Amino acid sequence: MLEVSRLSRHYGSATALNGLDFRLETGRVMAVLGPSGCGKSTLLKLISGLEDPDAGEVRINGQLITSPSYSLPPEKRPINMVFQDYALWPHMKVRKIVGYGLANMNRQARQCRVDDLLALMQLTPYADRLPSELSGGQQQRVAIARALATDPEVLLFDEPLSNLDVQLRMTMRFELADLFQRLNKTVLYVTHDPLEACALADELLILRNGHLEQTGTTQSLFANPATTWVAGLAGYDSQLPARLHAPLDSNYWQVQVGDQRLVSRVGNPMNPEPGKAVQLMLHSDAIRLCTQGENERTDTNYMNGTVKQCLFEGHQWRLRLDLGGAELAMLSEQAQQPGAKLQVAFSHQALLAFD
Amino acid sequence: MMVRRFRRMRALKPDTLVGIAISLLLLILVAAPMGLVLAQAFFPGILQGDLAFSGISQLQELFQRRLWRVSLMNSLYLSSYTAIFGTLIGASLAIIRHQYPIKGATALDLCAWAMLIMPSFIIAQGWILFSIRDGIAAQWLGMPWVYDWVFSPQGLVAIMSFKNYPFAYLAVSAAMQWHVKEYQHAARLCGAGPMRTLLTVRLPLLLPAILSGMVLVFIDTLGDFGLPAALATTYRFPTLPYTIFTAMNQSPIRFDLAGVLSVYLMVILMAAVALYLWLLKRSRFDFLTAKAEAGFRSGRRVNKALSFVALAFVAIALGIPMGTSLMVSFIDQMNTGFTPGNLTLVHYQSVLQSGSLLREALGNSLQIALMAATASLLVSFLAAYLLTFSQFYLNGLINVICTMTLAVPGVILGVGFIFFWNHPLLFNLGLSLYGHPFILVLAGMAGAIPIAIRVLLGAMGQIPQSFMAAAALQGVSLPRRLVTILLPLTLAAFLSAGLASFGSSVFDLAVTSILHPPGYAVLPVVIDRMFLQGYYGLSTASTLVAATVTLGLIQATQLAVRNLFKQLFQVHSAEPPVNSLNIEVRHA
Amino acid sequence: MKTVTALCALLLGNAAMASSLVLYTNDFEDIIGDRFTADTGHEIEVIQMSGGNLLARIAAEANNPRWDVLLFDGVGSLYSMDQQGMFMRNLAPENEQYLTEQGRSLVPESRAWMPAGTTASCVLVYRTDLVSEPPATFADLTSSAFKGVIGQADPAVAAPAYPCVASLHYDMGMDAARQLYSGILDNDLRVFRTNGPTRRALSAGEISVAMLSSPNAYSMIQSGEPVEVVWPEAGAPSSSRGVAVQASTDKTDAAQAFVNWMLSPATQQFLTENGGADGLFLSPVEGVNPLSYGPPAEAVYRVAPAAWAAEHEAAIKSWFADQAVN
Repeated sequence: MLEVSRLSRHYGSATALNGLDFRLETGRVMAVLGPSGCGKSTLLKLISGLEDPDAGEVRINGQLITSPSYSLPPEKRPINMVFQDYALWPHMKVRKIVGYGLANMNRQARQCRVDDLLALMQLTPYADRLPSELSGGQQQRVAIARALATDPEVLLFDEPLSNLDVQLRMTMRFELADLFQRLNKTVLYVTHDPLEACALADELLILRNGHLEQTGTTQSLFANPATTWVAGLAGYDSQLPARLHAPLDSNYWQVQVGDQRLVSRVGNPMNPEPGKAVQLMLHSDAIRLCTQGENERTDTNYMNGTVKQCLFEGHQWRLRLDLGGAELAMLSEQAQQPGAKLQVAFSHQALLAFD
Repeated sequence: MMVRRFRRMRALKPDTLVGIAISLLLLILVAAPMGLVLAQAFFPGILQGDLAFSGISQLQELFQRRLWRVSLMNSLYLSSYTAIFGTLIGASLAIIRHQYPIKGATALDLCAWAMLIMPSFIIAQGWILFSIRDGIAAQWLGMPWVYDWVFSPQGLVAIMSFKNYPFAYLAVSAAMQWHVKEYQHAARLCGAGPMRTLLTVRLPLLLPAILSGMVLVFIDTLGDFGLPAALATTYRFPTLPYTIFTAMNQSPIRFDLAGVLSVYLMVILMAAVALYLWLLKRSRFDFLTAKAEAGFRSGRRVNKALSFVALAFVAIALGIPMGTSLMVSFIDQMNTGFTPGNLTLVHYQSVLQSGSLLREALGNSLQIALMAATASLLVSFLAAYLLTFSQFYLNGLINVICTMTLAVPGVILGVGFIFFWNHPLLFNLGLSLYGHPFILVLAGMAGAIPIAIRVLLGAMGQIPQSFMAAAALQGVSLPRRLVTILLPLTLAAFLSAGLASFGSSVFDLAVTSILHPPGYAVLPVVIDRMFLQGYYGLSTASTLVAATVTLGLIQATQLAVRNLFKQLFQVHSAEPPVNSLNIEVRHA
Repeated sequence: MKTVTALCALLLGNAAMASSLVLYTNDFEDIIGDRFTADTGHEIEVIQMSGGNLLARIAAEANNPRWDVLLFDGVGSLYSMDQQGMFMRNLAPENEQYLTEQGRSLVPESRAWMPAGTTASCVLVYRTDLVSEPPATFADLTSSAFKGVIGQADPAVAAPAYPCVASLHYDMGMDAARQLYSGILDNDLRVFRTNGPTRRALSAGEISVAMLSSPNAYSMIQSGEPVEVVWPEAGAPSSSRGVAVQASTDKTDAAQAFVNWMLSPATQQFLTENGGADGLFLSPVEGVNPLSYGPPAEAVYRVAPAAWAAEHEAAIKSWFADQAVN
């Protein structure tokens, strides 16, 4: 179990991490999500011991790992890490890299362990190659094999897929998900890609400007983002200014957007009252084009807009709609001429109102 | 704050242990002796353990004695003009070398490195033998006017410019090695001719490199001891380092005034170093983009005029002093001429015979240099590791000490070492090393560490932080991480730093003149003495023998290491960037 | 690492000098050691330095002297070192009985050193082929005929050079001497480190007149160079060599044996015959035959009193160094 309490780190007057608290049960995978500069990397450095905190502490299975007055050296911590740049030593062959941390084993045991790991990561044919002779995906797997070699209590991943091209990233996502399932390790996985986070993690931790923005299981967090910012991260890519009009029940309100009236879920935390200015967040995937003469449903919002821009995205088109004062992004299976008038629909549930 | 630090120390991270050891070592080796030199100016009794503050009256003595005033003015004259002319020569040669297709480009590079590595007293001896009234120029070439030309302030500026131009040459060459062709293409497309492009686009971009080369020339010339030492018999041109030396080495002995003069020298040098570091920071190649490319090769025809200029320069700057030494070492009577009957091997026989002073001195100096280079390499490697990869809280201190001492001349180092290692406190502890050969090892280390650290920092800066972090997270101890990861990856720089330290301590005249124990022969002192006593044949033969042996050892080590670790050198080793080598400031 | 340790051990071994007597000297370094050991059975280590360096070394080692006996040319410096308590006083070597009258006059009151020989620290030497009207006195050196061609050793560096300047100052009075020297310096006096290079410059024709120590002057004549010596009629400024024992030495017996040995007529004769140019000195003991080509027997040596030379050393040397700057 990894426990982080009130962890802080400052660089001069800049705050990289401010009083962070969370705990991660053994065997769970947690993704730390946030844009660059949010404190993700600092968190990893403090947990791995590459830097020391200014306040707070980190414990693993109850044992103190670091605090301002105590810092176990990195080599003594039950932790290993997969680096963003893989950090494969260019002068060593794969076999040596993977076995590097196993110096205290006898030769035979070490060889056995390395062979197992190479097999696990499908690297057996490459055991005698130098890192420069491997592809990006293979390098990635060597880095993982090395991190697994020391059988750490907690495994850290620092944006491991960010250096791979798009296709390889998709493949590796499957591989990693599969690996996490089989290994049953405690994993802290840092990324700035929300989709990667959802795909791999049981829990999410969202950091912003050095403080905790929201945490929870992957699905609950994506379903109920706590702020517009988290919503944006969770793929709610359209933002509409609106006013609350009247409550329908405890979760749903009528809202006024320009001259159109919609029904929206009310995100928490919030004290709704009529006339209050809010931001509506909407996921582009949730929006569809209405067909002519479609029957209006009671659980659906309908809006009219003009096509401002239409971009081809390979198998569909992304549209920018002018709603008269606000804009909406959506996907369409057909191309649309700029200036065309359209009606779009999305469920009440897809719309979220925030302070 | 203190409590926190103290508690963290109790956790005893390996980095912290190493850091404390390195800091202590640097304090003892460098900071304490330097501090004593400075303190001496204000607390003249400090060497006797008396801490009475004398005010700044001691500092004012500089203006009361003509010799010291003149030394200061001579030093400033020599170093300022040398900075200007040396930079002019170095920058022009670099531009010629990299902008135009010429013959002799390699010769120019080799000449620059040779001049950089060779101690100035050897160069100066060559020039003196060439120019004196019974020297080569007057006796054999029928050019007696050379004497008056060379032995004048302007002549000395010329000699020092020929000696120190490589700082500017290498700095500008490094800057020219990478360039963005688009900048020049854009200028040409805007209608500028080649000359205007050079003057308006290329030169302004090179300005930081030119200026920092200039500061380096200034620093090295200001701290130079070899030239005035070699000149002593022929032409009086006292400079600050030499006057400091004489203040301590001639009766009546004035250690206190050596301290005062050192303060002046150090203040000027520190100002120059500060300027240099500022320039270095400003010129962080921020004009380079991803489009920068190495080298400049054009298929144009060889430029004959410029080739001639380049080769003529090499012939004068390197050819005259070294050629003179070579000839003098083979002739019997200076004033008889270079005739078959006057040729002899007797000087070589004499210096090489068993039991000769040169053999003893060379043996001693090589031992000292080997120890100093090995130890300083070890210390520098650890210090550079700390500065690059650790969060050790005294990193700032280590960095400041190393930067400040980058330009401290050997003479001041020597004064500081006498003050420190001959101090009654240390003496009572039984640690008085003054008069013991081991003090030469320590002094060699103190001189070599700041330079070696710069070279290693350059190489380590190219290694991603994650390489060392990954090794630590494998649960591997610090010593093993250093040996298995960092050392192989910086082997080339490690080798250069070690060999440079070795070479420079073998020939370090200033430090050894001041600190060598009586009766313990060391190479530079022996050669210098032969020269001062007028045994020119012996001194030149000794110089050539010692240089051959030393270079041979360096070359052999280089080849052996490169062969042994071929793989590391072929693919991955981080070569030291040329720019960091430029910092190599020598004071012989 | 092993090599380094081994080398360290080697070095430390090197330095832990055997417990032989340590002599600091600026003369006779090549011949003294073996002969002394052969004559007395005491081991001796001879360390040679130029006069200035030697004094500097002794001053720097004041906390912890590394020498046992000293053979030094210049009574002024000997006197000031004695005043600082560096010497064992009341020496009474058996061979003192052989001292000549001139030798006896050089024994200081404190008996902290014994005289070991006197030389002229500067006589005028000129090139017969380059100088048509030779100088007769030091005052002649201010003549414009000699502008830029006069040379002298540096009194701050060369052991015999300070006695030269000092006795001129003593004989003429400070102001007159300074005036004379200012005149010579204004005549572009070339100041060389020691007498050796001064002599070489004279040989090479870089200068045509030199104020040179008598051993250098007469050995030039002996080697057939075209020079003449002018020995001032009133006597040449001279310097006396002394032999002293370090106050806190733990080798008292060997050190005193060395002093006694220096005063024996046999040693003096040996040094005269085998010292090369250094052998051209006026021995303080009876019965020594000087070298035939040396100074005439009637030559007068003027040595400034030790106390006076010591008292004015710093002032004269500083004054000279400041004036000599180009």
